[in-house]
Amino acid sequence: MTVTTAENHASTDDLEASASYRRDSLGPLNFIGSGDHKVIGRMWIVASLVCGLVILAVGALVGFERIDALSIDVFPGLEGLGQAWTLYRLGLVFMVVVPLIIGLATAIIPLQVGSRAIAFPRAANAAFWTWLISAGIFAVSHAIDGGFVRGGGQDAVELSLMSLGFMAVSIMLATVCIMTTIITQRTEGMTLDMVPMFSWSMLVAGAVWLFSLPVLVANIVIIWVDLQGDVARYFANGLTDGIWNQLSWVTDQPQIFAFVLPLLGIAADIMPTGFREQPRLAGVVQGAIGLFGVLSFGAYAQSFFSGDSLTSPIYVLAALGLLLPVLAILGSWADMGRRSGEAPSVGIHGLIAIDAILLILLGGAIAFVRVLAPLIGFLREMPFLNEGTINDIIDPLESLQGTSIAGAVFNVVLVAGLLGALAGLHFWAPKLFGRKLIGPVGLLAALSLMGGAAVTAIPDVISGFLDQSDFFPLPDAVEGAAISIGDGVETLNLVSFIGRLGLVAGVGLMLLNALGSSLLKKPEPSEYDDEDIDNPWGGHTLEWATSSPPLVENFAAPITVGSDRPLLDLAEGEVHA
Amino acid sequence: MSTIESDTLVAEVSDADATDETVDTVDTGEAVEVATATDEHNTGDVNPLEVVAAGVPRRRTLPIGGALLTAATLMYFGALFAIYLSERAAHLTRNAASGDGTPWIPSNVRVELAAPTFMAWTMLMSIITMQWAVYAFKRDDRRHGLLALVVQAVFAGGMINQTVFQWNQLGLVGDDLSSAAAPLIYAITGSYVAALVVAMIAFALLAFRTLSGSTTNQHTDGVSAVAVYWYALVVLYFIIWILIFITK
Repeated sequence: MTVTTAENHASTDDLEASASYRRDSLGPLNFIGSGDHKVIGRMWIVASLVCGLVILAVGALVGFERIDALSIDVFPGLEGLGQAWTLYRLGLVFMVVVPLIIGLATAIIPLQVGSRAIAFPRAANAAFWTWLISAGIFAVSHAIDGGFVRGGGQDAVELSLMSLGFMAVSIMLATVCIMTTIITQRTEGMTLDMVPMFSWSMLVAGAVWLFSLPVLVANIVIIWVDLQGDVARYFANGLTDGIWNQLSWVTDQPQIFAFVLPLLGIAADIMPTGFREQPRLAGVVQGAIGLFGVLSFGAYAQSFFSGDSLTSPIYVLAALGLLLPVLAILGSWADMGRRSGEAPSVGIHGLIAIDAILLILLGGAIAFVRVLAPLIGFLREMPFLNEGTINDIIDPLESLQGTSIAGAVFNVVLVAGLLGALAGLHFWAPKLFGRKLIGPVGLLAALSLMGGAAVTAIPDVISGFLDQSDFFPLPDAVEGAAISIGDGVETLNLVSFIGRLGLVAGVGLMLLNALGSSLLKKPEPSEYDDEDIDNPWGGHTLEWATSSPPLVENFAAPITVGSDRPLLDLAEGEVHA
Repeated sequence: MSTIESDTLVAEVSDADATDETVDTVDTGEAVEVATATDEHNTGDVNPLEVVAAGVPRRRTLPIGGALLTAATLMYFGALFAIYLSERAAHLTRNAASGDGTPWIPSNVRVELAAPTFMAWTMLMSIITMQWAVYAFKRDDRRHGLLALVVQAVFAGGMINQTVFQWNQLGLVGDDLSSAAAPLIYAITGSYVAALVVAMIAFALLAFRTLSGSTTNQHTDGVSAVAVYWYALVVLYFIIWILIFITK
């Protein structure tokens, strides 16, 4: 074998010495400027979970006021309710789910590809701090009359816009670091088709994010420039909800599916360890993840600029097609189960991963319902079908686009992302925290999230059919006109509010579990008895080839791999021998 | 080297260093080639996980990272252009339907073509000087590398100066709801100025690193990454030139 290497190859002792020096240079404040991807990843995870608790609590309060928006006054007036609502929608994406996934990816992906560090570690650190500061400003700006609904103060709205833009830019920067690590820092022998599924899914998701988030930044810049004009407000008219209409595509289908795409990779990495089988359909899973990425690109679906974009064939096709990759992944698991011939030993992380996949299927199904009207509308072109009959079918479906069904899709899909991240946290906890997370707490968190999402979404779907608007403040209510919604919506909103409380509890438990594992004393190896904390689940991929927690430089020496599941091959080889 | 278990990597490395490797060193000028002979390779078997006493090959991290950032920049401008075209088309369609004849760019705005055309040619010429910088860095020619970077920075500064001049010349103000041209033109040209400032910061960083004493060929990846970004800016300016100043 011939390997080309750089001139100065440090010995293990040198690496440990330099790591020790860097660790001690800032003492307990070392995390501030750390270039260690594991430290940066943990900071993303803990900070996004703290944000999650705040944002979901705001969402629960919005849900409470929504029970009777004209009587209950948690937030000052309908404007205040609208501002809290935009904080919840954009915050759950950019302050919670995406940062949580980025944290997991920053910490784990260099280990998965056998790299000693993340690419551009200082940029990765800068991305985190930029995001954290922007997230704080974003939340505060909403509290001082910012946000993106009509009637906000101009300075505060500008602050909201700029902080959202900086959050998007910092997420892109972190994504570039992760993608560059996967492309250029893979260890010897690991071709791109051999990278673990989580890394593959981050590569696909990163590409979609890098092609869609700049569009959001462009929207923001145009609105911000328009706000600088003396009189005119073409894109930022304060008398309408134009600002929100330009930004809302990032919280709507299909784009929200792109934000949770890595959960497919997390699940696809976890499940084979339960089956202890070589996944025969790895190529199919990679293709499915790629297809999911293509279909979830949503920057074109901007109804503000193109009114018919939400009924276009590509939009409908995306909603239909998103279910297929998820089904393909489930099919690959069924294949593994059939070949192994026994029930998988999936553990708590596996159960949570299955929950996440089921929830994304539910989200896909609700998204499918939303496009039924344009889908059936295409049938109008068919000469053999009676147009009157088609109209009878379409009429009740046509008004669904702007109803609370959109909110149901949003909640279900993003909670699926949270569940995926929770599964990843449990699975990779030994690498992240040097210890396992507390299983029962994780299971309780998963049940809270899963139950909360279902209890929130199902009433919202029903009230969508009863014409409840998705958007706050209800435009008609502001103008004092009668709100025409069906009977029973208040009760449904009450049930939905209870579901939102479940979501708050779920994220609270996640945070407690992660914080406990971060701050509590690391257990001695003897405390695990005969359990191998370096690879407690029998993981197949390279991150399990190092210690738990890993060395500062990840691996004591570079490793060459000859397969996409080297540890499984190794174990099977030993069994055969 | 025998079969390796995951929890004994360190031990295996030292073991491999001590006994199993035959190391041939070849001076290639930039790197050392290490040939590692193992039991598995001697017998033709492939170990799925093998610890080697060698580093991973040098990969082009900066150009790849730079290319990803350049792709994001292109997508950002692509979105601006798409919104500009979409709004312009909607405006013209509305006017054709109503017959009121309000132009897309307000009639009191002076859109001169001379300066933008000169700027487009400036950017075209800058491709040569950018490639000059790459060429000089690859050959460790510090003097020419620095000179090329300075010329590039002057080009970028000139572009910014001309853009600000155009803003004053145009007299475009955002107080007319009949057209969305003003915020869009300011967003596009302002973003372009910001992109030029990013390029100038990159030129300055490369120049300072070179001045600090390190040889230029250590920064070839850096100058290649910046060059890709600059070429994208050249393409983008030609689109701006056609979209705003020629098509109007």
